[in-house]
Order: sequence, then structure tokens, then C-alpha cells
Amino acid sequence: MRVATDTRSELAGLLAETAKGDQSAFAELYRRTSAKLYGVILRISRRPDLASELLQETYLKIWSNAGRFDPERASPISWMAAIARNRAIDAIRLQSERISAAAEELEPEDGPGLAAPRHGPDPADAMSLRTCMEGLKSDDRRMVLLGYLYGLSREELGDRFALPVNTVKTRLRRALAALKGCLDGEPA
Amino acid sequence: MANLPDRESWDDGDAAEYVLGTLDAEERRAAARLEANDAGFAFAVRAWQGRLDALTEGLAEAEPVDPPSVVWPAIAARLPGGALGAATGAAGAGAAGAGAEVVELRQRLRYWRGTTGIAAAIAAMLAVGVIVPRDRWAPEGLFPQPPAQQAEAPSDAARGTYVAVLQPGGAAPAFVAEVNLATNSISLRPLRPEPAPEGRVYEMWVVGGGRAAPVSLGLLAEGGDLPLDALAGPTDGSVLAVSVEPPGGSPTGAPTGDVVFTGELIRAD
Repeated sequence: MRVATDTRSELAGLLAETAKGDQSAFAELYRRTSAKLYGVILRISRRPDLASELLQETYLKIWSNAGRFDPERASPISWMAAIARNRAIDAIRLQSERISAAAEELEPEDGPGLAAPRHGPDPADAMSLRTCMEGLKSDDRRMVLLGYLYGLSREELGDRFALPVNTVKTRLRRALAALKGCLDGEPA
Repeated sequence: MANLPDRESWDDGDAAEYVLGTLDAEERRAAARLEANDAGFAFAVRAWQGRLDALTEGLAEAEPVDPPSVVWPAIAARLPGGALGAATGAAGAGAAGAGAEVVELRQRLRYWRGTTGIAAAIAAMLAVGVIVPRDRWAPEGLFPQPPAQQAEAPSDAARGTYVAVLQPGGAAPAFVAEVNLATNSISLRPLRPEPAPEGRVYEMWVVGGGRAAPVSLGLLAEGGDLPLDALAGPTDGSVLAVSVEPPGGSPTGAPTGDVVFTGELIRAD
């Protein structure tokens, strides 16, 4: 996915300023990214009634974690989108609970001092992901994409593919292992 | 997964499914605790986020939706000092009170439309034929139901929404077709279709689903909506196909030219 380099570096700069407590930089970051993250939350959570609250929580986490953004590891927008997506998944998997309570419980700190995974925001990674996705069996690929892009649970995937939940789990893990092997250049 | 609740034992598949989002509630809680407390698991999670980074970026860029204008002030109020007002940062700050329902409906419309847009964008990026679910949230009673005639978007009550991404083999999607049984129409979103060859037209067909032969759905010369009459009969298991035909459509009632785009119809609700 092409993203203008200047946009990426501008967003990275805003995140860096945000990490220092600059609220106007954070406001600008919100202005430039909130529609994207709101779109992510709506799609994944399927809960328009909760989406505003989830968006608030997402940005408050971005505010508090901005110092952990590592431009070597991810693009600014995908780092933020991952936070939004994660919050939305929490909401639909744990929806029997109040969202605010879940937010307290599911606020894992990033492990300190971790080496960066070698997959960065390089456009070549999109190509290799594409190539490796194409190597999956068609249904396995669809399961992974529907899970990732739409937040489908194992049960929902099972309904969709007419498979028992345990089979969905087995096939997801097989597909993910194959994907990892392909992306990391190791045998699956 | 019996593994995860026990923090001593996990495998990379747990980390992968955690990032994918398919763990159930109990497993997800356990994974979140592990991520906080087990550096090895946290590293495995980071690695998976990295592997799927291109997908995440595609997800973010695919179809933005402006959030309600009240969100930024609520965030700003929770920042240290709570000093920053809405004026500085609010996106799309409009008259918040004026017709909130209209705003919500508009957002909902954009959501509806966006659901196909995202599939197209990501399928284009990955060049894989993801067939998209849509209409998967049904907040009964949440929004006033517009009368059917004005419902430009399918209503939540629409039973039978189907989507197909039509694409030439392996290449970027050309059309997204949405079949809505409630409004009795197929709407077709052209993405970046190759125009039909000079002096030819595109004709859409439905095949499979127990049909003995392809049934014409009409010509795509003008795009837009097609009447649904011809789609009578089974929808599950059907495939939409587009063939190249002479002006006026196939003279024989069956596809006569090359089939250039196909897409499986998937029930989305």
C-alpha cells in the first residue's frame, strides 16, 4: 500500500511530539487520522453504538503510548490502526462486560527492551505478504482475511465455512504457520 | 485451547490468533495477561503484528469515516489539564446538535458503502479475491428505520444481502456487486474495470446455484442498478460472471464471448 513518505514522516513527527506531551500535536494527529481509525473500529466492532467510546479509548492509549512508537517497526498509521483494531476486537469478544472495565484489564504494557521484529513498513513487505497469502489454500486465505479485516470469530468463520469450531482453529493455525514460514523464509 | 490460561505454556499459534483476533474471550484475556507479563509472548505478538503490517495499513487506509464531532472534546477533556478545546482539533466540527440522527444515518450509509470499498482496496493490494461479508451488525432499534422507499442504504432488516467481488483472474477487482433482496436490486460499483472492447458490451450472468444454464442479468453499459427479476431462484452457490458480447447483448441467450470477470456471491448476513 503506497503511503506518501512525507505523510508518514509527518505523522511520525506528530507522534514524537505527542510523546513529549504536546497536546496541539496530538490534536493535529487526531485531525489527520481519526476518520481512518473510526472506519477501522466501525468495521471490526460492528457496534456503532460503541464506536465513539472505542475511538476515545484508542486515542487515549495512543496519547499514553506514543513514546513506544518505533518508526523502524511499523508505519504510524498501521501502529495506530492496530491499537484501534485491538480495542474493537476486545469490544466484540468481551462485549458482555462494560467496555471501560475491559479497557482496564486489557491494557497490556509493551514488553520492555524487545528487539524489533524484522518486518517493517517497507512496501516490499506488502508484496511478500501478498505472495505468501497467494500460497495459502483459497479457503484458508479467506479465513485469515475475514478474521483480520472483519473481526470474525472462530464461531462466525465456522458458520460461514460450515466447519466445526475446532476445525476452524486447526485450519487457522495451519494457515498462520504456513504464512509465517513463507514470510520468515523458513519451511512451514 | 487449554494452553493459554496457563501462562507457562503457549505456542506461536496462540500469539498469531491473538493478533488475528480469533481467540475466544477467556483465551483473549489470558493472552493479554501473557503479553503484559511474558516477554517472549510479547515478542511473538509483536512479530505477528509486523507480519500483518501491510494488512493493517490497508485496513486503515481503505475507507475512512468521519467520527462524530463530540469525540475530540471528550478526548481532550481527559488529557492532562483538560485544557484543549474542541476548536483546535475537532475533525468535522459541525453543528453537533443539529440533526444528530441525520449525521448518524449518513455515517451509517458511509459504513454500508465502505464495507465493499475496503474489500476492494485490500483485494487490490493483495490481489486476492476476498469475498466480503457485509451487513454484519444489526443494532435493532438503534437507528430509526427509514421507510423503504427512501432507504438508499439497505435497511438492517434486509434479509439476503449478497456481495461478489468481480475480477479477472488474479488481477485487481473490476466491480463489486451487491445483491439486495429487500430492495430487489443488484447495484454494481465499478472499481477500475477495463472498458469493453471497441464495439462490444459487457453482459452480466448468474451461473451455478443449481441453474442448468447461465441466466442473463442484463447489460452493463450504464452500470448502476440492474433489476433483480432474473436472479429469481437460488442465490447461495451462485457466481456472477461478465462476458463480452455484441451490442445489444448475447444473441443466443447464452454467453457467446469471453468471460472476463467472475465473482462468487456470498451471503453476507
